[in-house]
Amino acid sequence: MLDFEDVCYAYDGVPILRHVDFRIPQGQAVALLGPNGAGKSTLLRMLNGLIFPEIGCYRFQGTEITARNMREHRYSKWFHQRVGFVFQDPSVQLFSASVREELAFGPEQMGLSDAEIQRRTEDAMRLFQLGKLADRTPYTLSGGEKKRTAIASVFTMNPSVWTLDEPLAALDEKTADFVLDFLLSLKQAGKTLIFSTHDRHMADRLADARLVFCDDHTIRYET
Amino acid sequence: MELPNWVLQEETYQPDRDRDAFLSRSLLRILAVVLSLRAQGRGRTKQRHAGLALLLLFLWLLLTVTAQNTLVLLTELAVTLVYLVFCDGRTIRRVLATGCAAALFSLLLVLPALFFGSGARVLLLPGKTFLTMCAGSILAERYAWHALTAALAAAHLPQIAIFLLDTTLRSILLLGEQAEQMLTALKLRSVGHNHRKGRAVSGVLGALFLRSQAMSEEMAEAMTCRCFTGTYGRQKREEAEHAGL
Amino acid sequence: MHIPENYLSPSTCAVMGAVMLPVWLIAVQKVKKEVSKERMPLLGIGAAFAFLAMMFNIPLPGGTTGHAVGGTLLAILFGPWAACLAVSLALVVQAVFFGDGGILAIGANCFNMALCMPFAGYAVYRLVRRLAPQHELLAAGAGAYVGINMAAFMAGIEFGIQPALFHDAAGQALYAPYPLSIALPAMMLGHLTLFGLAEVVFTTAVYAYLRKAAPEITAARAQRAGKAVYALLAALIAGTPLGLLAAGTAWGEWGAEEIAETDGFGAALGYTPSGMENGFSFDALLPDYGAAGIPEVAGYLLSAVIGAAMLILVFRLAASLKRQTVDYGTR
Repeated sequence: MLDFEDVCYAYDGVPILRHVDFRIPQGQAVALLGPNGAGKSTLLRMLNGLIFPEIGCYRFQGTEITARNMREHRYSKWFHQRVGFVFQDPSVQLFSASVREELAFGPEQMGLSDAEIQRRTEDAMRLFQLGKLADRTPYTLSGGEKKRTAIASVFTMNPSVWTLDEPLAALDEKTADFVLDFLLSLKQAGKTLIFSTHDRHMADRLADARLVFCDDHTIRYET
Repeated sequence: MELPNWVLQEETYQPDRDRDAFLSRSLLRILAVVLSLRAQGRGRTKQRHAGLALLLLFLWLLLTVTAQNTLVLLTELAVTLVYLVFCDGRTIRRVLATGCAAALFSLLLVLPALFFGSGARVLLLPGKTFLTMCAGSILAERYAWHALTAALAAAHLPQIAIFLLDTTLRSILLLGEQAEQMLTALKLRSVGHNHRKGRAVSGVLGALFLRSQAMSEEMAEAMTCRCFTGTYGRQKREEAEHAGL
Repeated sequence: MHIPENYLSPSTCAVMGAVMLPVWLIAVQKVKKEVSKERMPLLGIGAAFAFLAMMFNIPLPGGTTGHAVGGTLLAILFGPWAACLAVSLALVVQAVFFGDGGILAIGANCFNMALCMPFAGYAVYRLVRRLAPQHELLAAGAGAYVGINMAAFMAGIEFGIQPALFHDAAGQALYAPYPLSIALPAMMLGHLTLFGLAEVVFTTAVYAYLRKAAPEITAARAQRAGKAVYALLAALIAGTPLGLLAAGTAWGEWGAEEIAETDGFGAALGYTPSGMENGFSFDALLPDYGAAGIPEVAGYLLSAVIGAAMLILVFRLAASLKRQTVDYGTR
């Protein structure tokens, strides 16, 4: 479903990804492992069509993701709906006036019916235990609540590929367990998951495959 | 965990034709660029003679503002351009961008005067703006802001003014990064008609504002924890000397 | 050789612009592809050389002046397409900031000096090098001589067809007033002799200097302009006021007010063509490389510095926008 073919990428003349090759089939859960600054975030940005390979190509369901394709609004909107991104810092992801609006933003963008929007928002609030916070401004929430809101706001768009940048970072044990459980359920529901993590335990429980970032900026694909 | 059954289905969403330019071209994009302009100028190494450079800048501005003679201004232009020739490409880009943007803005301001027949002399204003802004941004490119604020402190400017300048510069830097990330997040979720664009944009701005407040509070606390009492290095040493320590 | 404003009819200008537009597009593509990020700033320095060369006016008996261009030199150093772009930019800077050559005539001037000149010069250079591989300087000189005369020939034709094509009912020319029989010999005479020689001397001297002082440039693998290159640039700038010694105006570059009395290779014209009197006008930053209230020499020097720096900056900017080539190694 997601194919990388000999992808190279540099920032400011410094190579960050070198000759990266892998193929992630639908429904697989992949952990990105490697030290800070190894290029995990770069890879996630590339997976989301925010940056593009300098050499080689990245294909999503057979279509090459290039700057030109992403300028085509219809395609890029379709693509961004299919591929969801949960940022490491949830506060950069939240901009609506209330949690309820935040969750409804995605489905509204997709032009779903009011009933469907309502259904998805309610389901997400129940699932993520946000019911009491529905009318709070996301900005005033605690770290864990923000994270849950951020994940829920992607959830209501129901992407088929989830990319997550260190989803468990800076979360208390209870929230971390909850997020992990949620991701396991997503995997069972047949979604593709790609997440970076420093948490071996998380990688062991969730991942079918690993992308290990090596010192020479190559990536090893292990199953 | 029990997921609702709509999750199990694959979305069939197909975007329809959208006439309005994607958020990436909106006002916010400009904001992010402006803010990130500052953020890019990190990693400068030259810190010495910041005080001298500030003094030179001050004299340069004075000369530019008072100059009535095209010879002086043209010489200044020549000096600026020649200096830039020996800078690296990114510096050239940023300095000229700043200078030209400012010059264009002031040109817009004097345009009415030009129409009412004030003569070409009024065009000196954009020219002078260009020169001053170029000089200012050359300085900003060359020296890290803490070197400049330290130099200001050495010039016995009021500590509170320096503190404000210092924290403002730092915040602009951090906010630029924040704004960029928030816009990316917004863009990734703006997958359809942006009939709520205005609200989303104001949301980002609001969040950014709140964020900047929290950041400055946090910074003040962090600085207090690191024994900052409102005075900068040099003055502090002098005070300590006075106290006979 | 810079055709001023209103010497060519707007339609001629439009045709020349239409010819140059695709040429520029191709040149940009070629330069993007063939000139590396590291070599791009050098091309800017080359453009600055051409700009300065054109400031050295040389007087010819009879009151007219001319100058070298350096188009062939750039073609030899960077290839003809890169030379086309560099000379074009030098001409644009001259027209826009220094009022040398008309804004509307940029297309025509570029056609002569940025297209015909480097390509003709380069072709001759290649030919001579093939015939006599040891004589590189001879090839460069021959190329330079043919190149500048090609450009002058084209300018002569452009001037010369104006009166035949554009005149009023009374037979008075609307734009450039001299027919081919006058314009062509007038242009060619100077360029076949003194100005052609100047071009040859400029080209071979600079080329020989660079070959000796900065061999990495002539060998097409320079990474960065060394001290020798900047020293030459500085020397040229310092020397530009010599160009002021040439008192006259170049043939075909008279101002609208002087054209009536000018003895343009034959009898004085006696009238000012109407298209010139009421034509398009444009105030440059430093008209004729000077400004009111500034000593002539200072104005000329400042113009040289500002113009050269502008051209170098343009190419450095272009280089900085160009994607860096990164060595990703093997798998």
